Amino acid sequence: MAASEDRSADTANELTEPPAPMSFGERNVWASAIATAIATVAYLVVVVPRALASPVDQVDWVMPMVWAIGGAIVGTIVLSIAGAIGSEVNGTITTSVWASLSGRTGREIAPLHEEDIRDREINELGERTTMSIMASSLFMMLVLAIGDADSFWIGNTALIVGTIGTLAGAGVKIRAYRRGF
Amino acid sequence: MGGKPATRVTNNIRALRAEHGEMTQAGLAAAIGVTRQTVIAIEQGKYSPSLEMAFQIARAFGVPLDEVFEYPGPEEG
Repeated sequence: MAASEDRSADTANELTEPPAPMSFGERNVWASAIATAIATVAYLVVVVPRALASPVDQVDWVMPMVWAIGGAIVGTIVLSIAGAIGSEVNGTITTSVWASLSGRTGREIAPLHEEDIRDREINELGERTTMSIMASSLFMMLVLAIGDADSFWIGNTALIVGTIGTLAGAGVKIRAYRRGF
Repeated sequence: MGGKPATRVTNNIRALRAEHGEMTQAGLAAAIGVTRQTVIAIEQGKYSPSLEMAFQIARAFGVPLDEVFEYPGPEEG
């Protein structure tokens, strides 16, 4: 550690740069998690009262689920675009303010919409969690099918466990982005 | 800033950037082909780069690898 102690940490701390925006990969994880959570809650708000009011084999759950899945996909795309625009605007403003205060140029600011090896490694880490939970949902659906359960239970098991897997994977990724791995 | 490091590997990147004409994080990121967020994560000990990336960082500063990264021995860690 002698070499590092010889170098002045104070000098290093004087390196001022604009605040780093949230990475492209992390923004997309948040977009997916938020859209999935909202779509699933909306689905449950519609379907659970129906299931409580009538036998499950008479509950119309298919179209709400199609809308929920479609909504989650579209919502993820919309939130990703909104996040990219917001990050770009925020980055431009932040860089301008930083440049005017520091007297330095902001031309070295890294592009806000790129991924690298770390993003890919974090994605793989989270996907392993998601896939392990998805695999358990397949097993549960198989058991339900063998037990001749109503399609309501099979379809909803797939959706709920799929949502849990997506959110758990997102949690793993966000933790890796924030705390390291 | 940064909280508990996720790795025992320590580095001198901040100090080396200072020694190299106040090289920016973005400048180093461009030199090694990663995002600035990854450089920040490495500096804060939140991400251990691959061996190849570690060599690229050392090459960007023109110093040996062990001047950039250190790994504490059993008696230190």
